[in-house]
Amino acid sequence: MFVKKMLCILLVLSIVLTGISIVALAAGDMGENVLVSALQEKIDTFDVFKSALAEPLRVLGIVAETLTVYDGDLNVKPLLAKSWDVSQDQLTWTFHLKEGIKFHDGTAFNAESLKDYLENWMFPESFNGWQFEPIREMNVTDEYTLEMKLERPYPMLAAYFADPWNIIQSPSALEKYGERYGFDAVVGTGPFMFEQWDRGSQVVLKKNPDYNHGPEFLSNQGPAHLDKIIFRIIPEPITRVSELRYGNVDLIQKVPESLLQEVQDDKNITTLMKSSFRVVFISFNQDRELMRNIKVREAINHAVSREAVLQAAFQGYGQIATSLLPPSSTGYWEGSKEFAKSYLYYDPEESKKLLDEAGWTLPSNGEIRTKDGKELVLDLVAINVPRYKIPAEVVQSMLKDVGIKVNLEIYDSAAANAKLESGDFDFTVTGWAYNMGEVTLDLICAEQSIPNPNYARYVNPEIESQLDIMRMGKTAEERQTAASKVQEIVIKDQVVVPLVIRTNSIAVVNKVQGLELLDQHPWWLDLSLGLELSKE
Amino acid sequence: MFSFLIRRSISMVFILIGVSIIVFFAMRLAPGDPARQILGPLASQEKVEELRHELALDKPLWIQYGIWFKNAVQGDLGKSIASKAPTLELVGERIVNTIELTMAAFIITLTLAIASGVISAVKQYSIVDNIVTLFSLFWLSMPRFWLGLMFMLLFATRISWLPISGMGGPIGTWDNLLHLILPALTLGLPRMGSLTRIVRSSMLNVLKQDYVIYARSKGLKESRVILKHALRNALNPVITMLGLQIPWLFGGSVIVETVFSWPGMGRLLTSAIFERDYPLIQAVAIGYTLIVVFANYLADISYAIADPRIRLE
Repeated sequence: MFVKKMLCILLVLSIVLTGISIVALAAGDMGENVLVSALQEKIDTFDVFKSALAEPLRVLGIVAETLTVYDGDLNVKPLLAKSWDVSQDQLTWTFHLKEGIKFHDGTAFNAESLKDYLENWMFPESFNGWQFEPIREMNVTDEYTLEMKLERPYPMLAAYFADPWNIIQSPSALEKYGERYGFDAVVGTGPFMFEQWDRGSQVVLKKNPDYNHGPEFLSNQGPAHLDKIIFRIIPEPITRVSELRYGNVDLIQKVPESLLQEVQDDKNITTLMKSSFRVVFISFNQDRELMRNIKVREAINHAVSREAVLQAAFQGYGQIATSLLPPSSTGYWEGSKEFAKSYLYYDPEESKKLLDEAGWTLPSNGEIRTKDGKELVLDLVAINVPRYKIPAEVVQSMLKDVGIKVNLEIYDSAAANAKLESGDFDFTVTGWAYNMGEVTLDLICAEQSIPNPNYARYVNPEIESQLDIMRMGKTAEERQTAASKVQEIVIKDQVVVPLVIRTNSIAVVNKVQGLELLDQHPWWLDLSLGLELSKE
Repeated sequence: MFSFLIRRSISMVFILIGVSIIVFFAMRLAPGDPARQILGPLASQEKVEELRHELALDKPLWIQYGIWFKNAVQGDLGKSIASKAPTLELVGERIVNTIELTMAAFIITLTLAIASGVISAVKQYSIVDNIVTLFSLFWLSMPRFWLGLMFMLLFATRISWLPISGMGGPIGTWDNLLHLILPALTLGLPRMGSLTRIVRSSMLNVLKQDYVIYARSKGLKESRVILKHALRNALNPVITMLGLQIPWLFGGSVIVETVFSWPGMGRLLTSAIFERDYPLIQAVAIGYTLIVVFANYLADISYAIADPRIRLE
């Protein structure tokens, strides 16, 4: 009797709950054109000078803009700047700014405010400050013209201004909010304005109705079609995908590969995929004597099947890497596809032969190679995220097959960074993701980036001179040739060995339109202007 | 009663100091540099050193603790390294959400455990008893992460009775209560499993007592015998156990908050640990300690209320 009563109560309760859910869902639709997207957990602040995390940039990228921007073919185009001239001696750059633009706090965007922002905020505060080091002096020549005097020719200047991290924000807002900037407010010139941040729950952006200066390569230059964008913070990937599939979220990025098939099979969802910027690679610590032996490095390279790594870690979504840069980044070397065929391939027999030649031989009764009575045991360090942990596990298992024992050490990111900086490891499986390939090469291969992120402690004078040309070369061709040369040397040296390129994905419910525009750009730049919601 | 409150308040201060020392030094034993974590790999070594100096991370550990303690006594728990916002503000925003979730889970644990424990004891060795035992063991053995995802799959996606994730509206609104159900069940049910077993064995023990036989022989209704005479006496060991459930619930809330995107302290703590945001970790730990100590305080008081033989002296 008692049990029957309980069952009845449960039934009534479920009916009531269903009713309430329907009413609540219906009440949520207030007729505004609101796109709901999702963010991962990692947001501490929206102050770009305080946090280097990538997730806040998805919000910041549509609230604030850069002076220049890369178009779909990765050419530098104007955004907040209207145009720029470079003097004959390349020591003076004159930026002409678009007129009539206002920051969201109502203050004017002009040469004076730009100079104030660059001089007092961006150059000294940003971790990208080094990109602008050659600028010695800035002069406001008229309301919308800013002249920059350089100490040496610096052809990458306009490109660095297009780096998505180098957004232009309101200097008066930075002054006004002080330490609370990025927490209570973010003030830029973008198509959406920062409205509210319920920490841990959501970020709400509203349309900037006055916006009309979008990049020339976008069909809609403003204002945006959407009234609002709500970024819900959903840390767990399975929850993000569930919210998308059941209509509570309209757009998510970076669908985990393990869930991609399920999302692709859903008829209500459109999935876009592109090569991401993230190249997963092996880095050999050159401070360790054993790792300085190129035969051992080559042996490891040939013992690892990139296809197996791609399948195990990314369910086959992605590409085999042929260079340290992905095709979607600037500076990518087209020739790497052909060139890599002679260097980056899987051949365990050749690997065994190379180890034999290096003096590491397999004892008749053992599984681990030895040399002078010492076993071939290597310390491999990786960060505890699937994109590095699983490839590292694959590498460990494949090296066992050729007689190398690997002690795999997995740490959280802070501890792994500390370990890699200390140099207490033989090799690491790690990765890098940045839209500007020149920055990647500068950081992974340059001597000045030892110990972080040049974990290999890789020093090669030829690379240093090519990096100089890449930074300083007068023509784009010259710089590209140097960038290509760096990528070629890296593959030849096999100190940093590329494995795979991860796929980036966007999954969108079918009522969201305007994806064609988005899909034209290799970076999926500026989501907001092109997107609109169909009225259902 | 008054002296009990004073004594417990003094011991609470020592517990807080103890926790702050353990958390402070334990976190610094873990490798990792907060300055590098915050600034990222693009920042130059000079910038990292500059930030380390600014955060006093280059000073000896005991001096760092001294600085923290001196400020904490004055009510300043420091600023988050990552966001530069006062840690008290960050914890304050989240603590209410965690308390709401934990309280709801606690109520679920308690009511379901008592109801099923009593039924199970009264119908000892029956099919109902076996089913209750089976479910108790099931809830107890299932990892919360898996349980949360299964609930989500079943109640929020397959049959759309409840929302998938988030907190809905402000605390106390209908939308919020709907969003609360699944995370609270996920958090509460595993603890309910163990508590049910305790209620059952305690009830079985009490049902054999003379005063229960006497109550029945007086001709009282069975429901009155069980609920008034037996249950009240059977609850004493359960109340003792309640104080111990609280830390378990808070521990579990870290996972549940992540699965259901509940903006509570657990998630704040996890990201603070990954970023080595020392002041924030310290503040969240203090927040958790305060709640747990206070909850045990309440458990002691309710123990005295339930059993008049116990005095708070």
